[in-house]
Amino acid sequence: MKPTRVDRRAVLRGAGGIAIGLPWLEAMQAPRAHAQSAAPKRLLVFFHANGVSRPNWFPTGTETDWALPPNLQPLAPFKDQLVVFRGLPNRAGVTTLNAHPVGTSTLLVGRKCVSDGYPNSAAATGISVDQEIANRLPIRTRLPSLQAGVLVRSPFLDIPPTTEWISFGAANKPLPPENDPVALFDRALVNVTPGQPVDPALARRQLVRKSAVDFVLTDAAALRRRLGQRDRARLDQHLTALTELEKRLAGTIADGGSLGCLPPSRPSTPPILRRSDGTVDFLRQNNDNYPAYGAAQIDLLVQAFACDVTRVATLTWGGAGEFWTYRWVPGLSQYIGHHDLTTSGISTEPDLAKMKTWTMTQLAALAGKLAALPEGNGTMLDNTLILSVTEIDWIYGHAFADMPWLLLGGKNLGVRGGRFLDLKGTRSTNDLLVSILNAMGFPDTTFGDPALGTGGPIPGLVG
Amino acid sequence: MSRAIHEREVTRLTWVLLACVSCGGATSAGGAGGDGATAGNAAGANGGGGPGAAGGGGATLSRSCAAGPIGSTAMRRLTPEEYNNTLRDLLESPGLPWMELARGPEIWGFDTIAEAQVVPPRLVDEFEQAADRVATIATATANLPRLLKCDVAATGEDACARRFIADFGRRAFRRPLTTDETSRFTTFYGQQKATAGFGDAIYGVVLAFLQSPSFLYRPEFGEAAANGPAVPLSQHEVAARLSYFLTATMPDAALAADADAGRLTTDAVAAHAARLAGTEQGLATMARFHRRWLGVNALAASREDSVQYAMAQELDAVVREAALAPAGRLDTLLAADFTYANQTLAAFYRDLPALAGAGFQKVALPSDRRLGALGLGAFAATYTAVDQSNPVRRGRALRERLLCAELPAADPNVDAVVPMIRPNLTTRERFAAATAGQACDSCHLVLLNPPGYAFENFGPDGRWRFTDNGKPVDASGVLEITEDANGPFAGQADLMRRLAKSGQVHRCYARQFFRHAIGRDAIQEELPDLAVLGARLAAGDGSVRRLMSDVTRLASFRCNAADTGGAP
Repeated sequence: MKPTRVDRRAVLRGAGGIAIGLPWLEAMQAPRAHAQSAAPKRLLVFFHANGVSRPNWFPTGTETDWALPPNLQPLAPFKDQLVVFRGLPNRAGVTTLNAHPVGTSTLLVGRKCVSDGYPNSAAATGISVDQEIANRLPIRTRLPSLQAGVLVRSPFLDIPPTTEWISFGAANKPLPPENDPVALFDRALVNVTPGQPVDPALARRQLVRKSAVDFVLTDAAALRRRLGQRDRARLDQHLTALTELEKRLAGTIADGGSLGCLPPSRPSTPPILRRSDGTVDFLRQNNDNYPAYGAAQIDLLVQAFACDVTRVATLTWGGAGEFWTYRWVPGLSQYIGHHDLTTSGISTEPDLAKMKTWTMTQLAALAGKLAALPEGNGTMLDNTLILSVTEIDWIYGHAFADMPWLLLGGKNLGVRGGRFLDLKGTRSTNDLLVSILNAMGFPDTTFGDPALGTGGPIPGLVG
Repeated sequence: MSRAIHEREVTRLTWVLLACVSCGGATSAGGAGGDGATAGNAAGANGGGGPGAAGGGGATLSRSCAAGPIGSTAMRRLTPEEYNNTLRDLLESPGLPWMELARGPEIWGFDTIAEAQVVPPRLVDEFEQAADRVATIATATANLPRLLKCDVAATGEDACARRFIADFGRRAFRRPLTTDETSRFTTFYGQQKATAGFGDAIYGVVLAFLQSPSFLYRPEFGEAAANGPAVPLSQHEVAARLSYFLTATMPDAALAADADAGRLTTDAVAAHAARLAGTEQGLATMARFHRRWLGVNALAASREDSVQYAMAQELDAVVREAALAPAGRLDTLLAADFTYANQTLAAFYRDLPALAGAGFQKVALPSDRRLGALGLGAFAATYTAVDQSNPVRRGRALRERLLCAELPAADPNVDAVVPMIRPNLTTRERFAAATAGQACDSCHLVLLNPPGYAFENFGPDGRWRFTDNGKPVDASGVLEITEDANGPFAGQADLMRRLAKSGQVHRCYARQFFRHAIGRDAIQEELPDLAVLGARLAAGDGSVRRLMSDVTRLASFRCNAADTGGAP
């Protein structure tokens, strides 16, 4: 928190946690985005799984005269803000490990990943570009970044879920996505109601929650002293995570909002479905509620941006190797898990194309919501750069030679849209990450492992 | 089965590809693997045994903590199942919502192994969120009196709170609070009451208990006066080990009362084990143990109306009758000639009689075709690929789960691909070709493929087949990887009859109980104990129920060696 700002918790304590009126709220707000000379710059990473079906994905034509392919039709309203890449390899991808966790562990990191000792898993070896940006943004928002997920679940139950993680604070420090819109709301948006006083009961409970964690941290010292070295190391892992949690709880009381901020309401996402023994019925719940959870997460992310809760976010659909059946998509010939479909060796291209078109419809919905909110002398989409990624290049290849990534929006960040860029393998995703850093205002020339890039941004993309 | 209908739980995704494995020098040892050390040393290991073996067991089972080296179990954390069961028992609220928690790795299929219980990044957050949900429900105005069990109007807020801290704390920590703990919790309550009021202060106390490491973990310090490299566990620590072993939850009232009163002798613990093994919670827990042992637990997370879910229930029913009933035995479990099916399963399998009526019914398996727990759909359908069977995965699973023989990690340099389906070749022919060659032969020719081929009559969906790709299935082979059950087999039933008589298989099964109950693998010096347990299990009067009690009599169960550092 910036030193010039009033410590809200101190205020709450001083005021007995009861009557917090508007003047206090105003004093404690983060510098208003619209009051600044420049509109905020935001980054949103949109992850979808399992690569694409090539014939349905890549446009035909030239850089500026090109036609939208079937999968990208939903983005037609934003074609002039869209950059479609072709011939863009992820050179950090390694082929000795399972392609899906390799993809997630490298795509925003730009460094080769390593085995973490488990089959079908891979460990990232550095910070991801979204976190690099979150760390360096000059304005401190309530949350440095936000990771949202739509039923992100590793296909493997017995190993670290590295297929779920695309965002890393450092090597081995993943920031897992939050799947539950209600929990995401509680973390990011609770009490963000501009012009309204903080709910005193909720604020009081919030303080008790933080105090309980404080207490547990103190109380654990007695247990810790009695433990041997091995058990103490395990407990310390736990207590370190608890310390991080304590910091987050301390910051959970909202700072208010900015110009486009509309008071968000707590999501009413579908209830958890259970089997008769009370355990969660993952498949039933997950398959059928996927679209509802997705819509809720999009709303929350748009609100989190609009209320300036954060300026960096990721939205992960399903997770790498996603296995949901997409049976809500009309016209599928059969219901097979998304990933199984890509490897089953039978003719499944039409079904895969329908699934991917559905996902791009969600991207279009997200862009549409941002475009509908005016900000500065444009819209929020103009101030938000969306990077759409997937962990492998195409469904049958499971490799990294031709990553079907997109840029969308970010006009005010200098991104020149309306283009189909066939780079023919001369540049890499490392260079694209540099371009994104440049767009966000950082004049870096490399990101990740410099040897995997060409020492600069993709020419002509930003500026 | 049409894949269109049955969504799969995903541990079976086809990108789990099995590589040629470089076994290097290990192959010359034949069935080299974890259990080799006990080969020469178990007198009763061949299965006969009888009273003699039981007598020998007496000596092993009464060993004191100091009599020989025992391994050290790291502090264990509640697994997601244990956490949820414990919350329901602690709050006495069977209807409490299930709290979803991050799952860490599993070892040998079990999440109860201390080494597997790392702290996944979001787990601590999830514990906090779950604690908030539970505490919010439990301290809601309508529920508070039931939580406090105290008349606040008559007794006073602070007196009720002190009583609550002592009683709830004793049950949450599975032992009485220390004086210091009582005083710290009471102070915390007072602070919260001063700023937030009585109700929120109780809410805070519940939050604190549910996030305390003494609740979430099971530290074991041993008897207060104990000394030496291995110390006897305290009464409360033994009670917790026992209840989490057999019922995956906190000690029930009877067990807790005996621990409080210091009455938990070795015999008393074994008696509680016998009692708990027969409770519904005990049966459900040990049925899940068997699912995990065979690595098929993921099926139980499938849709309730799916064949996969029915397969998990089928296995549970067979396990309950063949193994968990009072006279249940491992040889029965492995070579049972019956199963339990409902209409869905009977129609699916096609080799069972059509069933009338709802629910699961006991039916005979077709004669001399498939036998026992590994002859049910669950095993074959788990170790498979989407569109073809996978004999390598099945062979590997059988080695690891039944023989406790592990394989070296797959060679990362080998491009591991399940061979593509080709016209006119059976799965066996394709796998034989794909795993041929010097780099692969060392493992595949002997260790992996032959026991897997025994299951070739099971298609990828777990259903019996006579032909594969239009050609007759060849499920015969020669078993060469055991210490005492080698020889030719004609198919799955033949193989299971062989394995059901194997002392090695009985020892391995006892070892799986040991791993789950004690939270680690046996060290070399503990392997003879397992040989005794295996022999007692195979003996004419042996039973799985007796094995459970036997495990609790082991010094390794009653004691723990000091934590001298090293990896958890």
